[in-house]
Amino acid sequence: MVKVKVYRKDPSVDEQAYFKEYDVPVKKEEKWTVMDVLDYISRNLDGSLSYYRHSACCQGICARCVVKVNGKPALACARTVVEDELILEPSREDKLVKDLVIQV
Amino acid sequence: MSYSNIDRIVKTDVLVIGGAGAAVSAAVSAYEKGAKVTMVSKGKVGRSGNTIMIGGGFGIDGESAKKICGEEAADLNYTKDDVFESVVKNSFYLSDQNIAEQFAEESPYAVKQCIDWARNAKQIFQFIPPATLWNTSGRSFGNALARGMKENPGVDVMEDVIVVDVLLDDGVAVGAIGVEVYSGEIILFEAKAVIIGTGGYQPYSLKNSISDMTGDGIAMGYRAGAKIADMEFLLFIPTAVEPYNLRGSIVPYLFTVPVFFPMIYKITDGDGNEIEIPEKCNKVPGASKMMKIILSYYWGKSIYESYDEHGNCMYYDFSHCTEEEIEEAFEGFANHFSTWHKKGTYNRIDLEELKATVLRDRKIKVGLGCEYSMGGIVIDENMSTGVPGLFAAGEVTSGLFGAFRGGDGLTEMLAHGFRAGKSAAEYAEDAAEGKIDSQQVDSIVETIMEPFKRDEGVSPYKVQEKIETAADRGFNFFRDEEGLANTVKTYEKIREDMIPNMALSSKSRKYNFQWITSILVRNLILCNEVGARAAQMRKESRGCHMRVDYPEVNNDEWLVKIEAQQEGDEIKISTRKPVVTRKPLPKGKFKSIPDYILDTLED
Ligand SMILES: Cc1cc2nc3c(=O)[nH]c(=O)nc-3n(C[C@H](O)[C@H](O)[C@H](O)COP(=O)(O)OP(=O)(O)OC[C@H]3O[C@@H](n4cnc5c(N)ncnc54)[C@H](O)[C@@H]3O)c2cc1C
Repeated sequence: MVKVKVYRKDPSVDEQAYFKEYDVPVKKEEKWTVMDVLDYISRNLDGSLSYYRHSACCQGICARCVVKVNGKPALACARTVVEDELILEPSREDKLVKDLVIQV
Repeated sequence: MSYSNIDRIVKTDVLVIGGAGAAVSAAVSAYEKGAKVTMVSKGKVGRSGNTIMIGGGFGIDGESAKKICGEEAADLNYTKDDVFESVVKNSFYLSDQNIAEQFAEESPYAVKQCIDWARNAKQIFQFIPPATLWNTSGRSFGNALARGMKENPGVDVMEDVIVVDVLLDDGVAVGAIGVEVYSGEIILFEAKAVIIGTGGYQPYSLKNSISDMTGDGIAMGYRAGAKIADMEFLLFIPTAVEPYNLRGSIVPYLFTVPVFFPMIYKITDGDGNEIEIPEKCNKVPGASKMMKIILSYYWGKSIYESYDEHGNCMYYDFSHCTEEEIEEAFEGFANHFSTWHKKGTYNRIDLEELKATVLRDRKIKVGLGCEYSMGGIVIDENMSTGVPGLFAAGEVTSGLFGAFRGGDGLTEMLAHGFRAGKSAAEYAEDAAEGKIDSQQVDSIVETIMEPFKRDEGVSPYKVQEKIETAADRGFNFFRDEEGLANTVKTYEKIREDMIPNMALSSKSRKYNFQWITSILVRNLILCNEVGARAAQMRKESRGCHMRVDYPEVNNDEWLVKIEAQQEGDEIKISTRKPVVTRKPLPKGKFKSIPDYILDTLED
């Protein structure tokens, strides 16, 4: 199980950002990516989470799914999860649309 | 006129829907003809569509490669007639030959333009003599297309807008409705002509394609009154399944090409037994496109036979290979692709890590994933759909490749775009300004906004999953009556019970991907249902349609295209002969798809 803390904010409703925590059954040997984790959360735990997904190659080609993973920007689809805890944040708060989604 | 439910109105002459090869080529060619052009795309130009997922290259005839594209080393023996012949033959004769003529004739001009963009953008499109094809990567192709747009700044581009439906004025296309993904704004487009260049459809849960492939354009065209055809034909290639950080990669497919990965390994089924390809198939040249069918046939059959137990699974088994052989093969692979990829990588794949996995586990888990859909909107040689003002280009169409894509999808998209742009611009020049039907606008907007109104219901994600797993089960590479009947029934149920009951976890319109998914699944289910129905109806095997219960290729009864058209709420299905211009349709029956391929191989 990996503890995943996810940055949440809908600027049209929330004044302050906050973190929501999810337990995700990542099996290390299966080599989940951050995108797998986000898909798991949105499909099984919390459908209201926004992260880049609408025109996604999932192969590190389109390079549009950037998020901050434990403080460092990475492509969600190309970043393998090796930690027991993840903190996921938008890569730029000044361009925030909602949760992890930014528009540049 | 103003509408209470529309956030923005955009006016143009030619509206091009899509943002990859077909759309860019169409937009530029319409613009060059003097039309005011707006291109609207779900993803970003050069960063979206299956155009950026490609594994290899594309080609044209030798004389054109030399005379038009300036490739001195081109093989002049490969003529336009050969291009035509091979597409038609490889299509198992379901190609509409007027479309194949256009492909052979016009693709060189469109390709020339694209390789110029590539050169100007400093992207490597490597010409491989004496063949008449260029090799490149998806990212490079995307960069070339982005360059094409940069060189044509007069074309208005709107990205991250999902077009939902085409607007009609008394049966004539006059615009479209779209949703801006980030803001959730609803946009009304007014246009004199509309070109759909949104790519194909991808029915399954295992994906080597980009997530754009919900068949939006095919479904929009259908709802606008166009016919769609050949929806039962989907092309498969080996695609990684596990580990997850490999999933969806086509590296396993590239491993089947000896020049990329010079090593012999075994293919085994879920139980570890070798899946053998009969020796007689050695006659099929390794570089021939037909090899893709041969592999899907034998590997697919084995996967089908143990699907209940293992799912879409087989293994590349390296257990008998020496460490040196593995090292060497990976070295060669990495070297070849380092022309386009960071050394030691293939897109997101770290090849060193993959090699370590292979050295340790001696196997990788692979399935068959869908690379291309032959089906789509029926067009004529001018890319007209039969609905006045509505044109289509690229993989979203049907007609060129019939039962099997034995030519290049990239060349198709460019050739189609080139013609569609001209046709639409000419049409727009004479077209009167259309009238927007506010009732149709209201009805489209109401349909897409409906899930917001429901407090409880099914998640659109669930609906998509159900649609895909039903295709995995019954409408995959190998098919049988029972599986297809069940899939069709499941789709009827999803259409009746789930689609009208979708609800959302968040009421915000801002980047609400659940909402976006609720719009897209309407398209996917239409494509999948028509595909599964056509597959059930086709009581034979042909090209990429493989039936265990009807293994014969039956030219006497089934050399026909299955078409679907909307009639009220019903899907009306009919058949017709492919268009013949010069190559007569063959007769006779063949015992199986491999037998057909072997019997009809050129001497
Ligand atoms: C893994 C893989 C490997 C391949 N390798 C090769 C190869 O080596 N050689 C070859 O010739 N072909 C190859 N193909 C096939 C080829 O990539 C496609 O046939 C071709 O790129 C299709 O081009 P297109 O412009 O018609 O559609 P796409 O490239 O799929 O583009 C569709 C565009 O439409 C946009 N769009 C979709 N829906 C909407 C909507 N509702 N509203 C607005 N915009 C929308 C998308 O964002 C995208 O910009 C491969 C395909 C795959 C999946």
